[in-house]
Amino acid sequence: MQIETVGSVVQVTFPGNLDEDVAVAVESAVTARLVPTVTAVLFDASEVEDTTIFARTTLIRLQAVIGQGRRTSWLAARPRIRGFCQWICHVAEDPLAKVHMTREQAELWLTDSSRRFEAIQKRTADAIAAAKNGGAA
Amino acid sequence: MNRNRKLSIAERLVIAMGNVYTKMNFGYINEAFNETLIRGVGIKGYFGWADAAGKALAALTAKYGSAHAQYVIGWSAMLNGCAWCGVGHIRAGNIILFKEKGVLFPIDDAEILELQRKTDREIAAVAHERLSTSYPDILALLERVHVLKRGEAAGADDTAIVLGIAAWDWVNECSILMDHNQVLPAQAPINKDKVTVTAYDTARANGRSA
Repeated sequence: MQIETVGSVVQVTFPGNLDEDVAVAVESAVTARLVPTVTAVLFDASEVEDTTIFARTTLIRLQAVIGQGRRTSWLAARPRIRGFCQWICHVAEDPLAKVHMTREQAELWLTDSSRRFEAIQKRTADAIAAAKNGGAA
Repeated sequence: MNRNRKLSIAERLVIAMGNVYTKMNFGYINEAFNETLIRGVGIKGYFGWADAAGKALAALTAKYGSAHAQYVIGWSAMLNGCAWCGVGHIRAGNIILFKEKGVLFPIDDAEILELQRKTDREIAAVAHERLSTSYPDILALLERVHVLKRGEAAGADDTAIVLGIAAWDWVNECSILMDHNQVLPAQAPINKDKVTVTAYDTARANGRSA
């Protein structure tokens, strides 16, 4: 596990097995770094292969703390882990937290101003309009 | 929207209507889905999603056919990490293909949960290995879904796929935890065709044991 603060972003890199011990250590270390100048957190779960229900509970609690005005990106290389991360964002009810497939998408989200669900709705509405017009999406 | 709030009478009525609609049109009920969606996005959001999903499915079916439409949606949901939609829509595509052509698609819907444990790169390799010779058209669609979800700019030919991806990104906000041991229904009207579903399951079982 690696944690560092780069500019205004706390960056966390998880190991392959995201269990309760890792989650608790991350919760403690990230919470300590949430000073006023920190505006975002990037969780890199690209290497995560498996996780536990207890880790989820801890990370939901952490997400709720982060989500008080800060933006969060979750990055994962496996669909199952993305589903896990999505569940954290959902249950923590953090509209500024989002799951991504690529590092570029994750970093872009941190500098964006949109909220996750509103962004999805807008993207869908735009796609419907594009499909109706037969033009580019 | 607070997901633990008490539901209104109107919301309960819409959930009941949604359950009846799903039963009549798809042959199964997923009460948790309708309730979770209503709790998360409200009545307006619920119908907004239903409208978007219907338009996405119509656009994809018109452009690629009904089996291919299900593969696009199922692959997109599978990449999102949604087991329910990933399995259910790929199963729908598989059963439709089985009914239309009498063949078993090289990616078994029973494999999807295991596929979701792999990396995106590994999943792409499995798809290429299984489909490049026998189903290059479907492989091209799945690869397009993959790169568009990774942020590649969409072209004029991608409008239906982009709409399918967006609508299922929306619904995958539901984030319901599910029992991975349950048998999931095909999420399309073909699920009501019990003769075909049974024939497909029998052929799959024979194929797995062969």
